[in-house]
Amino acid sequence: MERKVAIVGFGSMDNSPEARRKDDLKSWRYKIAEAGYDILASVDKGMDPKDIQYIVTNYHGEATVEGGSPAEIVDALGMVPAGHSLITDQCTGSGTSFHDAYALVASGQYDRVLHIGWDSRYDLLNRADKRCLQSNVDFDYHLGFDHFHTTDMADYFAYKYYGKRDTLEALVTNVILRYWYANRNPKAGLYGVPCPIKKDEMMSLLDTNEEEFRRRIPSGLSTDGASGVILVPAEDAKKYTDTPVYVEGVAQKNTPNYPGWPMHYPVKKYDWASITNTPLDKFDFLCSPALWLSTKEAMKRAKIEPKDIDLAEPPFPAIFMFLEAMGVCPRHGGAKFIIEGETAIDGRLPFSTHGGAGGFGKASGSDWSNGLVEAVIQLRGQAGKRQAPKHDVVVIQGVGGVGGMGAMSATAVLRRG
Amino acid sequence: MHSFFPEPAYQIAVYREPVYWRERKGRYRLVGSKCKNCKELWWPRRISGVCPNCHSREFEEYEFSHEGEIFAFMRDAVPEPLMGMHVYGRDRRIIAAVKLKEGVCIMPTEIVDCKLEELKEGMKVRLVVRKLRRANNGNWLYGYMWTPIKE
Repeated sequence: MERKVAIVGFGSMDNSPEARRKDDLKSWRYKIAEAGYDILASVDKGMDPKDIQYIVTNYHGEATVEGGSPAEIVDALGMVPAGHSLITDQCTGSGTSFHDAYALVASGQYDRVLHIGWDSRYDLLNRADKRCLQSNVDFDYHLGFDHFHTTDMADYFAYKYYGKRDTLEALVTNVILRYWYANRNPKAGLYGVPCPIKKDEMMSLLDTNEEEFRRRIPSGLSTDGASGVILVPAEDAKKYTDTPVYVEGVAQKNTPNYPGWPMHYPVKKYDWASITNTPLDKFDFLCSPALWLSTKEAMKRAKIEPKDIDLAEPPFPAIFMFLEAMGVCPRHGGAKFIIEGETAIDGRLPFSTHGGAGGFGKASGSDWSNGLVEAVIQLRGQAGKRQAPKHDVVVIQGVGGVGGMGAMSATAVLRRG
Repeated sequence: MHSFFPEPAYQIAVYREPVYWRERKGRYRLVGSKCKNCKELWWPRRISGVCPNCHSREFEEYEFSHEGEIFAFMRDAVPEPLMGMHVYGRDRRIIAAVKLKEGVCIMPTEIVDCKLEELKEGMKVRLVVRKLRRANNGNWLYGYMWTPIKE
């Protein structure tokens, strides 16, 4: 019998420019501890670190210099001898670890589980590995093309099916929103940094000087990261806080990581085109079948329809696919949805309200959990100047790897208590 | 960098010579896997030896067609390769997806001996093998690439 699960604590390390100036003095152990104790401090009625029964963390994965040891992390948190699982699942890792932390409470095995997504973004080896297509067949089947080249491939299909102008106008809109949200989030990496572009100027520049247009588009911010929540059974939630947030549905799905697989995957029971509602002649590298599968399953478990979703917190820049997988806009309708302002704070679906990966800080291993923490803040009505007017149901999505635009995906649906 | 090799010979942990050696048939001749039970074809080869379709563990080698057609193509817009990821003699390569008659899609791969402007979706191409980079031990590594078939 599955127990209902609630979130009673949430928190993250400080990503603000002022905090990051001191980053060199901090190891990843410090940052995990900073997030862990921020989470504990947020529990309104208090929770002793000794009460934590189990810990689930994750980081991006691949090469590790010093990460990778579950015991190191428990020790860094000062929580020896609590049990701990360390998961690696690339950019959706903190979604996968949340999924497992949820299951530990829902199953009845533990009553207080600490979940933290983290990443040491500036670790050179880890960063080098991230630039490979992290292939399931190793690097030589990618001929020197790496993770950044997926952007080239995505652009090709975006221009083809969304139109070049609409794609780039959606990009500009999204960048401006990134700064808008980040400037209202004191923990965001771009907090206090003015947006360097204006939409009208950029769109006229696109018509006259495309090279200059591209030069002016600000790139997203890359940072370290650590953030997470405390999960307890719903029946215990009021012992810790008067404003718990309930987990209504979680799902995690995987598909092959080889970039070309969606065009040929001869498994009879697996129909990529129908899963993603895509005509067969419109293969689209911007689409992640794993994302569609995890989103559909999480929404089904939560018994919600697209109309029920009040805001979404997928902390990634390629946002068309998230919108389309939720069903809030038609397939290949993501660009129009953004251009029309529907992802702004007063739009149909405020989106990545903490600033997104580009504005809060892209840390891979804590991307998903950064979105999760923002979802909890929004549901509790504590988001201040970036508070969404309607905040009853939030969807958090994430993808990792390649295989289309994401071979693995985790999604969760949260509801206000 | 060793003075014998003008190209960067240092590389990062993920590039392991045994992997190149193990995958030489795939990289030089497009040899993938054919499931002996359900007859499905797989590219790249099923290294784990499990067929996702019927879960059989019995495979034989299958050499894929050396001709195909361009499904998608684009200019490599990443300006600087990361240390150790240089590809010999080329930058701003043409990235492509090539569909073979067996239905398999090779992606990412590269189109060579041709300008971007000359390419069209559906254009027929044939397999060529070209230098990719040096391994840590100085060996040349080659890769499968494609060039348009002249009518």
